[in-house]
Amino acid sequence: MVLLVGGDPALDRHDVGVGHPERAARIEAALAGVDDAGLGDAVVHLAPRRATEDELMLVHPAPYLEALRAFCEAGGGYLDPDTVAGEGSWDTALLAAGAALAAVEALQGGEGDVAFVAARPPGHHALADQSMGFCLLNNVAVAAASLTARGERVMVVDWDVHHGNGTQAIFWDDPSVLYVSTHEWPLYPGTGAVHETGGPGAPGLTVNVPVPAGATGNVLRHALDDVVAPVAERFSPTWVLVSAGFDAHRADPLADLALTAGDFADLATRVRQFAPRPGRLALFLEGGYDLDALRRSVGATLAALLGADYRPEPASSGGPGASAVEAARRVHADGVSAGGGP
Amino acid sequence: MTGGQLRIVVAVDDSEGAARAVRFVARLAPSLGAEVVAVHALGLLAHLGGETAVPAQAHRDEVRALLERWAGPLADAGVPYRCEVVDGNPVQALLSAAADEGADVIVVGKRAAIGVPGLQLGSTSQQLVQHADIPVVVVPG
Repeated sequence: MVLLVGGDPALDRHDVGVGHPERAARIEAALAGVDDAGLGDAVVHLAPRRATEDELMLVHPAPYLEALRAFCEAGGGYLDPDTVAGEGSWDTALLAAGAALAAVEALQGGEGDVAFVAARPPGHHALADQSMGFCLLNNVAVAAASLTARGERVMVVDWDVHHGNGTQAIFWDDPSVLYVSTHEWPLYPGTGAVHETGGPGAPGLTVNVPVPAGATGNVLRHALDDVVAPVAERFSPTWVLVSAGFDAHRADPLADLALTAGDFADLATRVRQFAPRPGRLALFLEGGYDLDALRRSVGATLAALLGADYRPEPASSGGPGASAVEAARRVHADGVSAGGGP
Repeated sequence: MTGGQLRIVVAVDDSEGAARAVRFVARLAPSLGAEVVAVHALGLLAHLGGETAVPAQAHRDEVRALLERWAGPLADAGVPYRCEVVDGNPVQALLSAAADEGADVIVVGKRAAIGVPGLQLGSTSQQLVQHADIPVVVVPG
């Protein structure tokens, strides 16, 4: 049973203007991908809700939230050269963060085995007090913080092609969160070097596997098997949350990795094994800007998680990056001390 | 100050404001005996242009070539300089580059304000002034 949260076009008022790649049509494509997977009654649609200020303040300080709300209500504008907010962006961002919380709550209530949150704007670049990289509120961080506040141990796997600098920084020194990222390097936002391994309070609990342009799915599969799996076993998470960007697909216009829909399916089945039991895995849409690739990748990912036979593209292999994975494996082989900067 | 020689980081892009900053540094650096690092920050949308996208890594190479052109006044003035392409939000990328380079001062052109104060917004120059722990020179238009 997959719980599908968010993605109500009627509620999406995050207007980024013509030509911006982080657009509302992405949600329609993701939902179409779910339909393509032919999961039938195994898909349960849940309504999102708005995150409350108290819930957001587990991650974002009140002055930031108030300034962002006021900025949007005043009509918005560019927050940085990449990031736009409009009058409706604040409410849409509340719904995206709230959808993440609703997904976790429904899983806690035993309503499903896995949740997929198809909402925007994405979140993993958002710092505690700064919007950037198309992101206003850090949705996955808000969900993770809601869980750690109740004593849970949360593993965040971020397979978006860009490093999730916001999520890393927010949990840099938090021993209750293991943050893992595979991403293209060099690329925006410039963070996520292999030697960035966590703060003094959480040594080794940040795992970065930066891979070169052209890397294929086998490289990331090896990263999860050889680098991440041993760390996950030591950490023993009670929940696994996924920053599921699909811009590592070879067709994506914002980056140069060479994954296919089949690769995302294979990553998903590996990540599922990190969760202690069904009902403790939630995926949150981050990037993914080629609509057809996004559609196929979302469909293949959810199909894999439910054991359904939908795999529109085979897995890929043959690209560079084996040495990058080996470098990360050596860094994290036996547990590491704190290192790098958030 | 690194090795006794003043090191200046100047932010460069295709704007007139950045061109003014480079010309200012080209006039100033020789008398100070300074070396210069010209830094350009690549954002998420950097390589999306018009109808088509240039692959990100190919765009990186294109920008390196452009950087040499943008830094032309430094070469013309005989100033020792390097060009660096960094990834990220312009403010964070410039602050990070300045720290990595051991810079003594950041020079940036004044640009139109983006956003509002209080949200860590404002123009790149405003944010640099607010957050840098070394002097920032803002070259007006």
